Amino acid sequence: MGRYTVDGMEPKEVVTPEDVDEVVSVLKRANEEGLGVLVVGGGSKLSMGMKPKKYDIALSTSRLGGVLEFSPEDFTVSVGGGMKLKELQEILGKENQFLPIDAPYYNDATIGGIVAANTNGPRRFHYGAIRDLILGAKFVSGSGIPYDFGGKVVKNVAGYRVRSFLTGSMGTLAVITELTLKTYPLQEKEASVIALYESADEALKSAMELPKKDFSYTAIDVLGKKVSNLMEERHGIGANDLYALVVRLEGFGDLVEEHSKAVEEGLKGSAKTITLNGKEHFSLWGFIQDVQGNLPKGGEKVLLRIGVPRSSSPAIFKKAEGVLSEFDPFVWLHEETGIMYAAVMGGDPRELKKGIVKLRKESEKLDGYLVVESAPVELKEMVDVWGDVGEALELMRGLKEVFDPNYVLSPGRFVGGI
Amino acid sequence: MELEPERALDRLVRELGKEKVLTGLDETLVYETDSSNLMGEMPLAIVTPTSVEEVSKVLKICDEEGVPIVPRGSGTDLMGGAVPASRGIILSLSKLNRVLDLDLEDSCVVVESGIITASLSEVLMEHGFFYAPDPSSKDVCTIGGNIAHNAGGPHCLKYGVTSNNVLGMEVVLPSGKVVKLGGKALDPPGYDLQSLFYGSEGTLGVVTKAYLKLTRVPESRRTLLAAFKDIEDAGRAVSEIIGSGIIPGALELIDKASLDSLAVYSPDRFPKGMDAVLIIEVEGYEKVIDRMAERVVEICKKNNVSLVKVAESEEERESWWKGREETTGALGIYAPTFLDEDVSVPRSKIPETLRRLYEIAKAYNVIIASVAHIGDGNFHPAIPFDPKDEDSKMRAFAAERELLKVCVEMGGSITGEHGVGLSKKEFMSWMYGERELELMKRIKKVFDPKGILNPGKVFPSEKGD
Ligand SMILES: Cc1cc2nc3c(=O)[nH]c(=O)nc-3n(C[C@H](O)[C@H](O)[C@H](O)COP(=O)(O)OP(=O)(O)OC[C@H]3O[C@@H](n4cnc5c(N)ncnc54)[C@H](O)[C@@H]3O)c2cc1C
Repeated sequence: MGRYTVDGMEPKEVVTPEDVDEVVSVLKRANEEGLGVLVVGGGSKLSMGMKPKKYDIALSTSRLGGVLEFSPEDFTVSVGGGMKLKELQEILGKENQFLPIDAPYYNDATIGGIVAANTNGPRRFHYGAIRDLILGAKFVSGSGIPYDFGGKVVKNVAGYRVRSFLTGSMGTLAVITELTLKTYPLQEKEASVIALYESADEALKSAMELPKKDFSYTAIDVLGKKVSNLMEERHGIGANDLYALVVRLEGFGDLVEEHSKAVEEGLKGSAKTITLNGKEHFSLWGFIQDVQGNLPKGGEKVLLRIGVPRSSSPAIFKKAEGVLSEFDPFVWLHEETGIMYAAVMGGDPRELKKGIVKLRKESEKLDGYLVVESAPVELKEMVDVWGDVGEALELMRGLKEVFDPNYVLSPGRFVGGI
Repeated sequence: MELEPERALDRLVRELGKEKVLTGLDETLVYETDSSNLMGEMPLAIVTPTSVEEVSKVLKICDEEGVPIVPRGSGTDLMGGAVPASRGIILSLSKLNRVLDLDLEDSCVVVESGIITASLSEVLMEHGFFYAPDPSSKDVCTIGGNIAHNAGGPHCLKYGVTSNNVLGMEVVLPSGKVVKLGGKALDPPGYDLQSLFYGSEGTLGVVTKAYLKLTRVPESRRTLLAAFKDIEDAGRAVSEIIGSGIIPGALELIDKASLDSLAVYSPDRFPKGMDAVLIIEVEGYEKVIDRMAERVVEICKKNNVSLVKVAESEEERESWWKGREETTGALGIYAPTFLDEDVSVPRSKIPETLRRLYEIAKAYNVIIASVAHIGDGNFHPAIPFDPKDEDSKMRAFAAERELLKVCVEMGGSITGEHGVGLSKKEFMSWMYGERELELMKRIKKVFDPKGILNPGKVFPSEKGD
């Protein structure tokens, strides 16, 4: 399988435009010749979506990266759509700033790809989603027209917020060439408290019952046993087939110290608690934000993302473990956001399909949704990876036709066959 | 399309009943305008539905009969967005004002869109929560209007504007279709239609429900006043405060021109002879709040502050905020009324922008006095004028035009939170090219193919309009 393989398909051509004009000309040609184009950033999320109807050109954004303007005193940064998140964080870090997006596939993910896939992380409820950080955007629509919605100010209500509308569009509307984002100051101190539990019930209950108002936390995660074991493997943190509840604290130095002690005490029922500081703390969260990237390689991986109202997250966590039990799933939950993931490393597609359909029903009953983020083609042919988006579909189709009337970009990959 | 007002009104009355479709002059007259005081067309009727189903019926009927609709919350729009630009109906959301679901576990409250923004605090405070966006008009304006303008206020530096605090919404389209966007489950699949509704000024659909994010009331607060002889120093202090990891709950700047008028209007509020005064409010845990305040003091001192102090009592704090509020009233010493602007520039450009504004003021022989949400670069210059004096009025409007141009040049926006409406639509082409405007128009068409929703707003007039 090559770097550009998508659902078993290979592109006839790979293009790596260096500027907007080149993007325009690729898309113009695709429109004239009726070609299908997939935008490839770091290639980390190519498995998302249905199998493309056409895949003639892979348009790589690898030459559209780089920081175009960083204005630390304004807490804004403009980057090319192909800029890697990891590189950006390193540059921002030198000025004691960061982008509060803990997207998975940290080493490869590009900013354009993160916007397109709307991948947020454990701190999403605290800091907001990527769409909230977009101050300006430049892009080339599927029809090959370049647009400039570039702004540099936090508050701007002139006209529609087209700049953030591309969030979650999965490369089906436009190629994002430039983004201006809001950055945040790093906090003086961070720490994590990990508590280990024998059962999911105990871990979930502790997470729900933490007296949250008393702590300056920014994320609370619950890791299933297998993920917790993976954490042990990668970081040597004693997990031993136990569930892990992990709390991230940020703020003033002594406050974080005091709060981590209080959290530890508050989590008494656990088999063991550990507090991490400094480097260990950061590498732990590097792991948690990217469990999907840390899963064992190979096999026909199936990755599910399930979103429910936060208070329903214990229920869906246990349902996921139950329904998928025969596949021995990896499960983990960003408790604050109500978003959980479940991954299985292979299995009979017909049985998997049954499980997915059942879990989707359960999520929908709780006012949530289930998205299949990665699956072998055979399974994708049996189940809609996105699920039903309801009454909004007609609007979505109308908007697709405004941006990409000939269905050149990622044809057939998005919701409702868009 | 032929406008069929009679038939439309008949149908509306039949569906909703007479008491919800008011056509008498007594009722319609006040709806000719909003807080902008611009005069529009006399509405055909004021329609006040009491359920989503009724909203849906109204939209469907008006769409079929080609009758324009102006959705309306409380009419505090300062840009004429709630003024009927053509003859049609006003769709008032004022009766859709219930709290539907207070869900503390999910940090969410679900409300109907006509609810008054500040009325939420009464419901939430007792549980230790609040809804963060706090436009100065909060005692009057509605959540629907806030979404339609993506409203902000002093607390938005720390907590974000309306869009950062709304998890989902229910909207009704001209077809009568009711669509739910987002909700308590975050990041659902599909295009981000919600993004388009923030700041859409009633042109895409009618917002009927909102899922609002709740924020915990911080344990403690300290309020500081810092007065600077040089506004550049104030600007640097602001960047350093935020850079130090403290994001104040509020960070407001009062400029020299405003201080000058305040010095006459209520002489004891602020120190005299200053270039800029900052009101800084830090929030957080009791244990560290004094250290936060100390750090702010240190940073101000490092940047040549002339006077900096922490409020010693609630009275002192209130007196400072009162001073901030009085800046508009104080302009009365110059002229009976004023143009109230709302612009945005990158934060570091505020000192330079203000300097340019003073030059404009000189050139046009007017006063330009500003207060700024300086933390996020949004500020409100006001230009006093006498409406009875044609020359004074012309100079004020000409200066305003120049001012907007300067803000766009600085990489800013012609509006940070008040919207475009009627007043600023001709300036939209300063910010966007033909192509971008065309794209926005085509987006609108997807939602509102016949163009019945708030026509004549936001987009520059076309030839022949
Ligand atoms: C004294 C004063 C101070 C102000 N201070 C601030 C401030 O600090 N910050 C700030 O951001 N704004 C401020 N404003 C402006 C204004 O109050 C806000 O924009 C507010 O959000 C408007 O709410 P409203 O309910 O009055 O809406 P309206 O004025 O009734 O309507 C505003 C716009 O929204 C549309 N609309 C209203 N309801 C809906 C709905 N349910 N669905 C779809 N469209 C709808 C209307 O068609 C119109 O275009 C101020 C205004 C005044 C008069």
